[in-house]
Amino acid sequence: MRLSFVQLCIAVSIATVSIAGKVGAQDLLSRRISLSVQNQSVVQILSTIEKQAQVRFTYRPELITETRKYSFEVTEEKLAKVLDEILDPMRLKYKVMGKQIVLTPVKSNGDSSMNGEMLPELREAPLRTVTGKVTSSKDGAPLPGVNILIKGTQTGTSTDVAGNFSIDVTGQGAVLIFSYIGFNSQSVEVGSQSVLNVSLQESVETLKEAVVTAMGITRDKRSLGYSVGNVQAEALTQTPQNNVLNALSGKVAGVQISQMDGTAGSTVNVIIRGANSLNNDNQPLFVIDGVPVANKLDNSFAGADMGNAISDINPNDIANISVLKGPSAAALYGSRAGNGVILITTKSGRGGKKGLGVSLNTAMVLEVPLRYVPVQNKFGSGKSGAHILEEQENESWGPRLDAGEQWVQWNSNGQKVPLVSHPNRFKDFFQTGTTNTNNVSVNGNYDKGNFRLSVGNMKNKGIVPNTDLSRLTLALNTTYNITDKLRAQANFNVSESGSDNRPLIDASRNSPVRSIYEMGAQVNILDLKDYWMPGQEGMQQRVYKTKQNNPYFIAYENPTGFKRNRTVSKLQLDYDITSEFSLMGRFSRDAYEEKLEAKKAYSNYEAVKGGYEVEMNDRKETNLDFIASWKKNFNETWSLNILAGANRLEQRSNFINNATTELVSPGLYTIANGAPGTITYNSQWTHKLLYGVYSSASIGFKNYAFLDLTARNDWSSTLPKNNRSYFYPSASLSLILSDVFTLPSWISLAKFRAGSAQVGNDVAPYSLRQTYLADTDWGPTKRMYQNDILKNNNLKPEISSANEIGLDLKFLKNRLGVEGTYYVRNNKNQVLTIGIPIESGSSSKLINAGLVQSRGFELGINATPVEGRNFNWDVNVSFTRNRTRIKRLAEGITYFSFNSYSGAEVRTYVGGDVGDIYQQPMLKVTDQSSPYYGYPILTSGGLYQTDTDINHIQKIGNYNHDFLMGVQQTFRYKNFSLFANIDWRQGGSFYSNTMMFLGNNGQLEESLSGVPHDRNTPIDQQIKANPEAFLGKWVGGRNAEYGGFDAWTGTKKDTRVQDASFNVGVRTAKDAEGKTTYIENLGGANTVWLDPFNAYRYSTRPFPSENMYSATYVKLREVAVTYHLAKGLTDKLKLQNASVSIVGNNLFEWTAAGVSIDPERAFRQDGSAWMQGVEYYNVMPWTGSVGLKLNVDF
Amino acid sequence: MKISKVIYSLAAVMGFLLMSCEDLSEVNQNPNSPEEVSANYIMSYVLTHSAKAYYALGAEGSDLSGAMQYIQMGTNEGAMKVNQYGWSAASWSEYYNILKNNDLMYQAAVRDNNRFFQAIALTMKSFVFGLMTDLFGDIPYSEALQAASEQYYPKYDSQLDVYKGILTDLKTASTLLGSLGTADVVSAGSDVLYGGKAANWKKFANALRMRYALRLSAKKAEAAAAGIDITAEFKDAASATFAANADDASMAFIGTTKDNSAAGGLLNASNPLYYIKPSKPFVDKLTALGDPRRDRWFQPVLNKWDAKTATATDKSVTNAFGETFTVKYMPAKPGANVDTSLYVGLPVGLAIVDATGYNKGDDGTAYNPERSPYISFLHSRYRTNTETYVKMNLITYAEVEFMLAEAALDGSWGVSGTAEDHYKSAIKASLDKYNAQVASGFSFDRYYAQNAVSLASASNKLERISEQKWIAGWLSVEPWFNWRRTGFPALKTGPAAQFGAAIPVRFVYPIANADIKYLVNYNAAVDKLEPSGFVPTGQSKDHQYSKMWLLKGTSAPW
Repeated sequence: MRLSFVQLCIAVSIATVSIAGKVGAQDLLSRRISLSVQNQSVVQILSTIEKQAQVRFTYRPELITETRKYSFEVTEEKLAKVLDEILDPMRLKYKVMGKQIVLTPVKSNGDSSMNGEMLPELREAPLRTVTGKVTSSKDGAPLPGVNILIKGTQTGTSTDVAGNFSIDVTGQGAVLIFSYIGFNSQSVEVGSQSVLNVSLQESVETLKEAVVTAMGITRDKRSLGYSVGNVQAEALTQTPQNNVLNALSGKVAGVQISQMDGTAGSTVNVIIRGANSLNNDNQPLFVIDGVPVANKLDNSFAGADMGNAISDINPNDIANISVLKGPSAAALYGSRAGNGVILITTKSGRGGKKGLGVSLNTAMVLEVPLRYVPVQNKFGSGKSGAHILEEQENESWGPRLDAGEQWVQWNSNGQKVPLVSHPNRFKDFFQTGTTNTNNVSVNGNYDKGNFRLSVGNMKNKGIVPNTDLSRLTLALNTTYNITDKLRAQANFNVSESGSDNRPLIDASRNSPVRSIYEMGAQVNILDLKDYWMPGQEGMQQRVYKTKQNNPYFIAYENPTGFKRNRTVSKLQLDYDITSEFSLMGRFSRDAYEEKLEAKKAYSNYEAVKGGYEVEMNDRKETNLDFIASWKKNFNETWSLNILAGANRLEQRSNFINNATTELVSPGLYTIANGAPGTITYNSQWTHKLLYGVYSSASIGFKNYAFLDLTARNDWSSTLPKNNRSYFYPSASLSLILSDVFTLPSWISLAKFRAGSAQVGNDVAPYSLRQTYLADTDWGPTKRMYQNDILKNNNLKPEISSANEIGLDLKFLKNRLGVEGTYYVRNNKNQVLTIGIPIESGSSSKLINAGLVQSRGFELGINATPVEGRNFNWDVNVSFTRNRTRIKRLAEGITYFSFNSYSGAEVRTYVGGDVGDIYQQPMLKVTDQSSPYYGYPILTSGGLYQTDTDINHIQKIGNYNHDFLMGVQQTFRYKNFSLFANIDWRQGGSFYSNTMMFLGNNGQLEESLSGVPHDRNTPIDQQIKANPEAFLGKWVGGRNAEYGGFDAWTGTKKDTRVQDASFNVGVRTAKDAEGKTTYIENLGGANTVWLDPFNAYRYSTRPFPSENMYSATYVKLREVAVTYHLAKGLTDKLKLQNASVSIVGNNLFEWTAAGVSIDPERAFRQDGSAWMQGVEYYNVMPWTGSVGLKLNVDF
Repeated sequence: MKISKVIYSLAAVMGFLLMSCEDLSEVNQNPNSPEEVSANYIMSYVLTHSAKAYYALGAEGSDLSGAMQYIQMGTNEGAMKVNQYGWSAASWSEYYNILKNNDLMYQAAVRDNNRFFQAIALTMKSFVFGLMTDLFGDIPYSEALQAASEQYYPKYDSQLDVYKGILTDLKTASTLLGSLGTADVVSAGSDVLYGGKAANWKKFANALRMRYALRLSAKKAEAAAAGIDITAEFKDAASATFAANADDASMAFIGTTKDNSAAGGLLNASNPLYYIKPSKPFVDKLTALGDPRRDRWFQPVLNKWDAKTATATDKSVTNAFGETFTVKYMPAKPGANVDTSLYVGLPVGLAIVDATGYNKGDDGTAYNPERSPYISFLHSRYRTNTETYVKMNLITYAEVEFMLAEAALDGSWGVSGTAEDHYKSAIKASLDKYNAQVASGFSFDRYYAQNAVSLASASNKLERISEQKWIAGWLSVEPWFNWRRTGFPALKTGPAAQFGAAIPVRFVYPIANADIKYLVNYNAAVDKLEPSGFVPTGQSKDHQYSKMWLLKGTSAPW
């Protein structure tokens, strides 16, 4: 059969064409297929191939006239070969366009087809050829591969690489439909034209970035009038993390993440847009798949940090995290959203390929102590002077080591032996930690629904011996389409987290780390490894001094652990009554029960007869939500989306704590084994109920202007009856400037947004009325009292308001994106626990007062500097700057005190910034006419003293960073990718208690000698010549070698060789007329000489400014090198995906201060809270981790 | 059909749950702690905490136990404060917390019209406020404790006004206690001080009246001008007060929890407080007097220097109460600068380094510096959770007798009895308090007959009374107040005193609330202090060496 040339028009049967996957023609043709054909027509065969090879044949039905039936079989044959064999005999050739294979007839010589038989319908009307070019309206660029279809027929063609097309039409009335992914389709009447140039309008759909917003509503990002941080699964799981929050670090502008103590699994602090509330922990609300879940900052128990409850979630189950940064975004969540919301969407079976999929990943990470605070190893224990060994002392101001001095030591059997240093005491004690993570997930996607089931386990061994952490998670997400319109969802997240022993970080003598930091360098820590006294196992630990526990004994015999079982569950029904109106009902619950346990063995320093404490917490939050929503588009100009909802929230928590401070039988850890009278009991129940109704309306105009309005009213049980109900609205606007105005073509998107919102908040249960608490029993006598917190029966809900404006820009076809936001948050009338003088009968009072304002800006930059066939470079930058200021407090109250420790006062005066740190300065001569003006005034005992006049309090720093910057870069080269996350925090300062104590204890190098001086010039002359260098400092040294003076007289001269030191200044006296006279204490005749310990101690310890350090640092938080298995290989292995990564965390850190104290740890755990700005003996070594990760998807 | 069923039932369930609003006020009822309780439970809190606070103020290791030179801190870092008087800002939170609860007890008593409780509340209020003004000088008093009515920044009342209020309240208490009705009862179990016996409470209130009347002895005229006749108060109170040790306002430690145990016991001090040493002046005084109380309070040294011993020899030593100790006698070389006594105290105000090596002689052994065997330890009873002779004494019969002795000596207070009789009774009461008259070979008459004890042979009788009052007041606060008023005993500072050759005379106010409204009051109070020459130039007048009103214009103590 012959076909005429005219008949060689290409008919395209258009279906939806996906060009999502970039598949090369060769790639497509080399796909291997297997066919078993029994008596089938060519059309049937092609259709079978379509399914197998995921291709689509496009041809004019008339082309295939062959009616013969074939039977044959091919196995793993290339598609090209199969096609050749079938089509060649039919004189058809093929061309690959995207995923389409277009069949055309082979042109024969002489074009015989021109004269051949014509198909009947083609004879009816004359054919004419229309040619033309299709371009983009935006930049005039030609568009290749545009589908062109003659309306009402199956006939069509597509444009070539240059955007040109040619098509034959009949008659004058033909209409061509041009369609192209990413552009609006366009119908054009051909009329009499023979050349048709078409310009296609870019569709807004291209820029569609789906973002999960409040109430789990997925919105197009362009319609949002506020900033939402969005982090996808890939970015979260680049490196395995115990706590998913660690993976957020540096990735979202406006969010500050700090891991406050360095151990694996410890609490992570998340602050979004500044700590705006003065008395709560400023943690955001966490919502997993619509279920609000509990998380808090204070997780301390018996001196150990148990870690955030949010770490119960398996990072591998997370599909996406949305960070709703301020009230504008979070207003619908109401009360608890003032500090922002972190919305976690877990993976589901939806969107995957049909059928079953299995995904496996496993990771093994080693946690390696990289750096310890450098300590001196030249002098041993003692504080009496450089020539006396006192192993009992925690200080190391004793004799010279490795210099031939001989002393009786703790394990030398009463013999004098040489003093030798053991410099590796840290390295010897700490070990390499390991974390093993395994996850298996199965997902299914069917017409009737989908599911995902995942099992994950994590096992960690800590760097402190015998510490661990584990987590087992089981997650099931299911969706079932009961009908087309009714959908049911059930999610269950079950986890079991726990630890047999968490490292203690409270710097008590139960902390093994403190024990080592107060160990003299002459002690070999390995000698303590057998920690029981022989023959007294279980009764008496082996110690080298009575003032400290053996660190191994602490680690192995005094465990502090927890076990937490948690279930986050959700049942949800969605009913689409019409395509415009739908209803949703949801029941959700987050419930956990937690057992905390601390054991103290006999002979523990702080519990000589042991001890046991056990605590049970159970906490449950149940939410019922009902939401009706209605959406409608009006003639393509207006769109409306209205939602109304109601919420019932109920929280219950129960707490029981029992403890005994003395065990009857050693080693038996039960409360019943507590010695009579030593047992304390405590129990607390709380219950809270909140009703809320809310509504939101999103109004869109022409798809470039969007207005969002929300309103919510809550009724909370925790507020007084008259103030119980509170209302708060929000409004936000998004304007797509690039659609309103014609902007240069290199600007892909310009969007202006502005939002203004309020969030109301209630108070903790039982904050209204004064009650009596039970004190511990006095023998058989009950005691009750009121504590120093004054409650308030007139509390009002607090209202936090926020305004933000921002600009989102995208350039160069989205290769570069910039999002900037400026915000002001005003936390007004907040419920403050304000400090009042105890003389008033209470030390604090709950009031509604003040105005705390946070201002800041955040910048997010997304760029793809290089995009190539083999090489890709993506950069994500987040920049954050925030300042929080107290603008107003209650009438008569001028400052708010956050914390006070070791003389460092963290407090803010009205008008000042949160984070300010003050101290009492050194007392100095203020008489300007005196020659000693500015000299410190010493006590008669020759010590520096503080100026105790409260009016002289002095600001010494602020703990907030000037800015935070996170940079994530991803480089992809062929099958390799490199991911690196760098975190830079600039500015701010902190007070280091570790450095203070280590200095005080003579462990630091700097405690070897005072200010350098010239031995050959009298010291008082040097001081007078250059007072700046000496005043306020320690002058002297441990011995002659280190700058000590030979100033002792009498018997001291024999034992105290050249370690005389002093504090520099004057002492005051009164002459006969009562006038002040100054006595020089400059190393001359009247100097009060001190031992080096006291000379150093009084020059530093009372003055926190001496241990203030810059908080600037740069960390390489995450690095991952990944190899994705080549397609060919995965195909051979019948895998969808496989990759292997080498990962690392915190492998590098630079600090401006140059001390080995990580500024990120500048938090002090203070019984019931973490205090920022004051680092408290958080002496865990810096650790980095390296590991291997393997990912396989079937 | 099926779907609408699901929807309807869902809507019904949701509606039911949303509509059936529970009473939100009921939800917010605190199930854990009550809003009102019996005054009995508050009373037990007030009494135990007052006693503990007062005891802690003078107990071993406290600033005052160092100031009164009962003890020295050996090598401990606290030495700077205790031995060398480098005191810093004190805290009064605990006192105001007690006072607040005491006030609640008073309000409950008024509500219940229980006059016994009212009297107890007034007595305890006077006890705690009295202590505070003794320590600090001017204090928030009349406007204090009114946070509930939004009075956050009370003024500091003048010391005279505080004393006046105290004496008035105590008189009221005494009057109330003398006229109780049958309904005016308190629970015997909750009254951990007197088991609900009103007669004892009356004696206690009157003993306190005597204490505060005598406190103002140097300020008689100013007190009179303010309407207080201290001699009349004293005399009136003396007629109905303690007559025996059994009357003492004294509480024992229970010894089962940290909170109800003595500071030195294992529950509170797992590292036994060996660093707390007896002070040399005190030990030497007791030894010189042959005072048996020494053996109740201290232990012999572990190593005793002995000129007659050639080689180190363990000997068994028995104290006055039959307790035996093993003491190693160490050969003391002739001329060696060592203390050969069996009871060795640590000299006052040594630099830490010198304290560590004190009395070590030529022994080159490295000892645990806190446990030098050459200095005596406190008796082991101070390292137990509870012990017969370790009690929290608020005021004792012995003190009452000492006060009467002083009053009789002065002659202008109109008390009956001779100074000597009262003085003798006081010493006996103290000895009996420690059951010290049972000491082997002890005779009170022989003890009293000594020139260093008898009042008759004393050249300065007030000094003699004060010295015995100092001994009897071992580890309590009152001797400091007494020393401040009389200047006796004439204690000397050591070489490392931080502010010169004097013992401090007041507590430094707590670090002031920096609120301007507060500072007005605080600065006004500080302004009234009179800095002595021991306050460094340029330093705040709020200093331990500044004189409060009570001491201004008196030459005592220095």
